Amino acid sequence: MQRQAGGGNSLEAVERFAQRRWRMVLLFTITFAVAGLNWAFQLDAYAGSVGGPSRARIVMTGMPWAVWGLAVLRVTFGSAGPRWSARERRVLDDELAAANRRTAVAVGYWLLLAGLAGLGTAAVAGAAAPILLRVAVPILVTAGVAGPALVFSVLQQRADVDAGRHG
Amino acid sequence: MGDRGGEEAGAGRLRVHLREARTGAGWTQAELAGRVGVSRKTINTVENGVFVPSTVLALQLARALGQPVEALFTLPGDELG
Repeated sequence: MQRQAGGGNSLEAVERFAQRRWRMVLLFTITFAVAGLNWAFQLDAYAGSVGGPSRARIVMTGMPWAVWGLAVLRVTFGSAGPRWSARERRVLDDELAAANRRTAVAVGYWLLLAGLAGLGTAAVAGAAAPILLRVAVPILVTAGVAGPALVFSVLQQRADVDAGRHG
Repeated sequence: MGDRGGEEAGAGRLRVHLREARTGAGWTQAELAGRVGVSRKTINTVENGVFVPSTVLALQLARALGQPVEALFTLPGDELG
């Protein structure tokens, strides 16, 4: 790692890390979404067996996915970590990154709200059987976590590409 | 203000003359970003009118460039003397 005389990482290194970060968010998000949908359909498949999937099976298959979801939220909304100085963290999480995070949170909010409204409508219509809930909840959580992360990643990527074009 | 050039930001509510001021000072985007303490892509998005900076960042940019903030950001129709 190239370091400046003041002891901090160079700003170029900070910019490179920022680019790696949105790529990492994108990768984490895609794997989380695929795993979430896979889990939902697994639960759906087991629902046909007597009594549906056991609680132990739901926890065993869902726990890694939930941990991965926390990792997605951590790389999307967490700070850069102690490896970087306070000044470098300010650059990494500057106004543009904060604005992109706010946009991402707003997208997640509306996604969850729309999903809950859909679920509520289905419940009122009498279509919310336990099987629907088992499938809907993982899909709703997947959308609520992956949606904002994806939006943040795309906004950061667009800003990076644009900066490269005009730099 | 349209005759002064610059990018429009915030749905045409703000005209940005940061690029002219920066190139006039002979700085690259990276140099200005380093002096203000933001990323280069933040400077780029402000220059291109994609991102409207906060008052604090606008004042920091003005201070770094040694210009009044009104020279960097103007409202359509405004004229500087």
